[in-house]
This record gives sequence, C-alpha cells and structure tokens, in this order.
Amino acid sequence: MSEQLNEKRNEAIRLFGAMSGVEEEYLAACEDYKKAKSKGVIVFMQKYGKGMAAVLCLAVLGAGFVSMQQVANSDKAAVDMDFAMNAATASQECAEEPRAEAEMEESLREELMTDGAISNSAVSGTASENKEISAEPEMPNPESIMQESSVPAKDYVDENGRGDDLKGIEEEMTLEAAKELAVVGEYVPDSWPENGVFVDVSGVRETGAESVKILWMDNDMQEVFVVKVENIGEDLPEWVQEGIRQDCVVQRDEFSKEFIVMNGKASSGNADIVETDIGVLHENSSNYVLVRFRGKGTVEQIWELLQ
Amino acid sequence: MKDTEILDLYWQRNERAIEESQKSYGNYCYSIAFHILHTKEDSEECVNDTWMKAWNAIPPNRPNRLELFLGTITRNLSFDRWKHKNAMKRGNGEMEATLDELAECVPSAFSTEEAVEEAELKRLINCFLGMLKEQERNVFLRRYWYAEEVSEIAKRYDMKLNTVKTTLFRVRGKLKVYLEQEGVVL
Repeated sequence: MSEQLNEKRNEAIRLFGAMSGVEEEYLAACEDYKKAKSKGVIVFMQKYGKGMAAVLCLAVLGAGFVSMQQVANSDKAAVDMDFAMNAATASQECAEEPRAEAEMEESLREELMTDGAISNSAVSGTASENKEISAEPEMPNPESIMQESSVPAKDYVDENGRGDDLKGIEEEMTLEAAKELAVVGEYVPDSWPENGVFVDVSGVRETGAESVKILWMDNDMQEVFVVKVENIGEDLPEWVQEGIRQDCVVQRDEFSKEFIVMNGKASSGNADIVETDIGVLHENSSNYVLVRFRGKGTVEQIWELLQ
Repeated sequence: MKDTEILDLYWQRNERAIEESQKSYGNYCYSIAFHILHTKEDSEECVNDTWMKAWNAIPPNRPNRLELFLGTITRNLSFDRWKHKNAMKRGNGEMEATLDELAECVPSAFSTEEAVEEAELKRLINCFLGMLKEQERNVFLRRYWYAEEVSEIAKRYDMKLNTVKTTLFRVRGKLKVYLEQEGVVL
C-alpha cells in the first residue's frame, strides 16, 4: 500500500477511534429514534384518523345527550345550552381533527426532509426493500413528497417502482468491477456529468440479472443523479414496453440528442441544463440491456453518458 | 431488571451484576462487536471482556445510561482487537469500507503541523455532530459509531438506500470542511 494511502488509513482509524467519545445524548437519541416518527404514526392516522374523528364526535354528542337525560328536572334552557356547547365543541373537534392530522403529517414530513433531498427530476415510488409498505393503504412516501418532479410526469415504472433500487442482492463495487460484469459491463458509463460529484457504485452480480447503479451528486450536494444499467433479459417486460409507448425509453439506434431535449425540462437558472428521466435500450445477441439516466446535465453530457 | 438495580449490584460488588448485564445488554453489545469484528468468537470474547471492564469501572462510575456505557466499552475493545488483527494488512470487509469512507473526512494538512490531541478531536466531533440535523446525525452515527451496513441503516429508518448513501456522502463532506476550518491535523 502506498505511503499516502497508509497515512490516510491511519488517520481514518484515528477518526473512528475518536468517535468513541461521542456524547451520550447523541447516542441515546440514535437509540431512541423511533420508526413510528417516520412512518407508523402517519400510516395510523391516515388509516384510522377520519374514523377516530367520527367516533369522537359521536362519543361527545352521546355524552351530551346522556347528561341531558340525567338532568331531567334541570332548567331546560341550561341543558339546551350545555348540549349546544357540547355539540359545538364536538363540531370544532371534528373540524380540527383533520387539520391536526394534516399538521402532524406536515411536521413529520418536515422532520424527514434533509437538505440533500433527491433531485426533483427523480420521481420516486415505493422502494423495493420496503415491500411491506405496498400493503399499507395510500401512504405517501415522505421522500417522494420532497422530490416533486419538475420533469413531465411519465407513467412508466420499472419493476421496483420508480425508485433506484436494484433487483437482487445489491453490493458495493468499484467502477472497474462494474465494467467487468459480463452482460452490462460494456454499457457502464465512462464519464459523468461535469456538474456531478461521484458518490457510489453498486451492483448485482447474479447471472442473468446483472445490474449496476452509479450515483452522483451535484456540486452543491443537493441533488442526486443516477444511472442504472440493467440486464432485463431476452424479452421486453411490460414496464419497458410501457416506457417505449410513453416515449421515454428508446431503442439505441433511435437514440438522439433530440430525444433528450424532447424528454427534458430546462433547469431553472441555467438554460443549458436539462432535467430528465430516460432510458436507452440496447440489444446484444441474447439480451436486452436498459441504461437509464435520471438527473440533470447538458444534452451533450447526457448523450455521452448513454452512448 | 432496571438499570438502577443492575448498577446497585455493581456497587454492592454482587456478581449477579454481570449476569444481569448479560441478560439485558448482551445482544446489544454483541451486535456492536460483530459489526466491527465480523467473527463470532472474537465478538463473544469482546463482550465477555466488556463485563470485566464494567466490573472494574463501576464503581466509581455510575453511568446515566448503562446501555451506552457498556456499548462504548464494547466498541473500544472491539476496535482495539480489530486494529491488532489488521494493523499490517488491508483486507476486504465492512470495516475496511467504513474506514475508506472516513478517510474522505481527513482534512488536507501540512505535515509539519502537530496532530490534534485525542480529547480535542473528540470535542470537535461532538461540536460537529451538534450542528447536524437529527436524521443526518443518526445515520452518521449508525455508520461510523455502530459500523452498521448501509442497507441495515436504510431498513432501520425506513429510508431508501440511495438516501442513506447520499446523506453519508454529504455529511462526510461537511465533516472534512469542518475539520479543515478548525485547522485539525490528524
């Protein structure tokens, strides 16, 4: 190992060791951070919130009615006033319930928001590892709410939803190792957007299901760009066919800079940069390989990436 | 058994303290050790050593949160063992990946400068952590204190893999900038 690398490693070891001095309150918060804060409460309120509000209204109205019955000889006007007040309170509570629910959801979403939210051009869907979420009714993914796409919405989705997760056992790898994969390696890009900082490469090595994902962030570290290279087999699955129908997936020999322009949206603040989410379909002797780009770049950069 | 009761056993020099610590926090400490060492035998040895260290440390210590006190002991023991076993070689494994990532945080510095002292480095790390948002801090600690894998962190916090990776990437960048601004030499 070179001396410089050795030195860096020793320094990293020192940093890791120094992490043992982290204050107890930070570790405690880490231990106590509840999953319910991220999703469970939202799911519960969405699923049962309206029902709970209705039950609450009925309970309060019922309590008001019972109290009226019990005070049979009381002044009728006073009882009527109590009932009206209870009803008014119940109505107010019923009205406030959805507001409180919405406020709670909003504050939970805000807590989840980071300043490095996925690029607006990334329309996310349910992540493949969160398969249990798909069983929960209509729960918006807080991250997808942050990532409201400015790219014209496309309906085509891949098998993993519109997320970037790879199908199979995803492992970290070097760019060199990714380029050596038998089927998809030759399609792994050599370059990346000039406005991008390389973050990570991961891939799936499983024969017949190879795939690679490359992540970049922009220089401001606010947005994420992704290229996915996937072996999708001998036949085109329905979701790819849908992408072709929607004109956001194109065969390699039809891929052009005009296609990028057609599927892109000019980025605010820089007319040369477009945001896009497109796929280029390559066909070798026995397989289709889809190279998909989601992010920002100049038309020229994206063209070079997806060649 | 509650922490206060376990601590009382330590203070009473009642050896049941070890047994109760094992019951309450054995798995927790083992998890910390295994994330660093990745072998069952070494991890178990570190956990056993943790009880011995705790026995010698309590009293006079009376930690507020026994779990974290024990976890920190385990972490230190495990990392020392890892360093001893891996000092001269560079293999594969999660710790290597973790250290490679942390190497990105090492500030550039002139070699003539004095390295910062341990206590000061710890203080600076805590200052830095205090500046982070809670989720960023939690993800960072999960990766670089607990040495958890990125996929584990994503699952734990119901986050997407990409989001965890980019969060870590961003925070590492911030840490490097922070240490450079503080004039830290490691």
